[in-house]
Amino acid sequence: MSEMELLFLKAALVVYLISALGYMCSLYVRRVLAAKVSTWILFAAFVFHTVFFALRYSKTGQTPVISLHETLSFFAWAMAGIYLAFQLKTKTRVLGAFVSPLTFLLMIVASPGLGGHVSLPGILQSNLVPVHVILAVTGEALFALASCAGAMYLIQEGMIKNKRMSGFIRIFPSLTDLDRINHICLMWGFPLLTLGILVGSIWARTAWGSLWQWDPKQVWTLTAWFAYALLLHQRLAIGWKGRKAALFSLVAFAILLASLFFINMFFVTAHTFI
Amino acid sequence: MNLILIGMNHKTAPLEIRERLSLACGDSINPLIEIMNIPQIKEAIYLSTCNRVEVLAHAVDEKSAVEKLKTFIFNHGNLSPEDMTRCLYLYYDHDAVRHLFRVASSIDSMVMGEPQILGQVKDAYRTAIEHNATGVMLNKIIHHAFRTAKRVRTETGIASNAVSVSFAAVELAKKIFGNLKGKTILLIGAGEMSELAAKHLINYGVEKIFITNRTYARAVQIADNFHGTAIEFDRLQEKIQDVDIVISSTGAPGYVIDVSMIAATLRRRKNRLLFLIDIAVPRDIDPAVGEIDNVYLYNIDNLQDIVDSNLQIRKKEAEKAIPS
Repeated sequence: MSEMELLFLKAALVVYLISALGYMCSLYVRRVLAAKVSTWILFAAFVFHTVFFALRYSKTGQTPVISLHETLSFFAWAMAGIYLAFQLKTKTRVLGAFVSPLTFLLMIVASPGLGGHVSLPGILQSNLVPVHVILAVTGEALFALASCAGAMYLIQEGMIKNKRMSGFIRIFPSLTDLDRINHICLMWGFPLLTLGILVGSIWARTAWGSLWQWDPKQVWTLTAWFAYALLLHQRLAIGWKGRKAALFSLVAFAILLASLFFINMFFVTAHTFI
Repeated sequence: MNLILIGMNHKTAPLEIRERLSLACGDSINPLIEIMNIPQIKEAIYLSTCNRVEVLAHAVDEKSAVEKLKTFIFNHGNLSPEDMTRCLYLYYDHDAVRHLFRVASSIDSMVMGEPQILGQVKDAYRTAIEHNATGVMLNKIIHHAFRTAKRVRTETGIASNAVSVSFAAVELAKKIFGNLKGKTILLIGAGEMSELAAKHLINYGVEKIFITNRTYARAVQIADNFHGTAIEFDRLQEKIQDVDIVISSTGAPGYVIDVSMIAATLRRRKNRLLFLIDIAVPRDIDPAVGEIDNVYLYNIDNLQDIVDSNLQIRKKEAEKAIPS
């Protein structure tokens, strides 16, 4: 990794940390203003991160989403970017208090392995692989955001229900806004994950000869996919809203998380990261 | 002076007890007539609002008059002796006048500085006059109270920036719905506080307002004030299906809205959030309604708690502003 790249990576890391601290501080002092400032700081971190990606791409000529660390870094980048995009439309600044610590943690896990050159085994040398990863991970980042909004919804809903309008929930975004973000993330995340899975299986056909291998990772992801499909159906057809939808989105995300991280630890899978 | 003031307010008595007393005094009996039947009492004013029940009396024999007044409250409020001692306060002479001045000036109000209490004291006084229950002493005192209230209003900052129950309702509505644009309210019954809450909500963007009342003509009258739509009382349930916020403040002795009524609308509402505000004492909405998913129910005491904590925050903020 060149010095320039290292500089931007470090800058992104530090600034992500500052914004996460800023957001938590806004909860502590109960001022939305602190969250607003932190949103701009997060934007700065996002810009550094983007520059890092660009430098990386121009140097190696491959989309930096191949190794586990690169994927996590991309996950963090997508999450921050989508959250920032939401801030253009809705005023849900304090949601960042849940998003930015997650982004920072992902970056901490990702950063030690970001430097080295990733040499691809022959089987992974296809243009479809980065497309598969980008689609799937963007979908997953949307789902992560949906869970942040869902968790915030549940905390606040419980407090309003029990008439405890105190503490930091005073500056939480409204229930309706949180539900809307949960809904929109689901609406976008689902087709992206679906496309990601489809692209993956098309490539799998060329690489391994069949569309579907019953690999543990594939099975878990499919389970999560079904959970999200069910949630989307309940939302659109049955009219689920609010608490139930928020709770279910957390459950679905837990399944997805299992497929993302734990499967590789306990099962032998073709999806082993490099 | 032989002046007695006996009563309970939001600070001493919980909603359940206040509603029992005001319920008993509301329909079957006329409290003022009963009080005036007490031989030791020469003059009396009976004041009952959502937050207080008070009797101001000019008595010949203070001791026995107090005992009789206590029995009166005891009988109608159906209170236990412990409740009595816990909830009631009793002032004599100067303290009684002082308390009356504090009440009229809204210093004793749940929300310090709220403007409604003076009107309520005036109404109570008017009723007392109609029943020939006032004489030289109370007339004089009450007019002093009105003048004091006016001075407090104009010469202090108590009324500016008042944190009020109706604003607490707006704050909650915003916490639930975010932007209030395009939301709809249903107002059940009439009352200054509920109309004030409705007015605030309209100021914050609520677009449509429906009003219903047992007396349809009254509903039409209020609807004119708000540019709203009057609804017949038997179409209440059907209307709840459509609206986002319900403010209820009827004088009904029982629940106007119960669980089965809300449960029946849920399917049609497609789980849209519903915010119910029950300003009535006795309560209009069965508390169990608040347990239903996506339904949020706040009664007058719940709103009060929010106001309290708001005031607490203000106090802290104010302390910050004073250099030590």
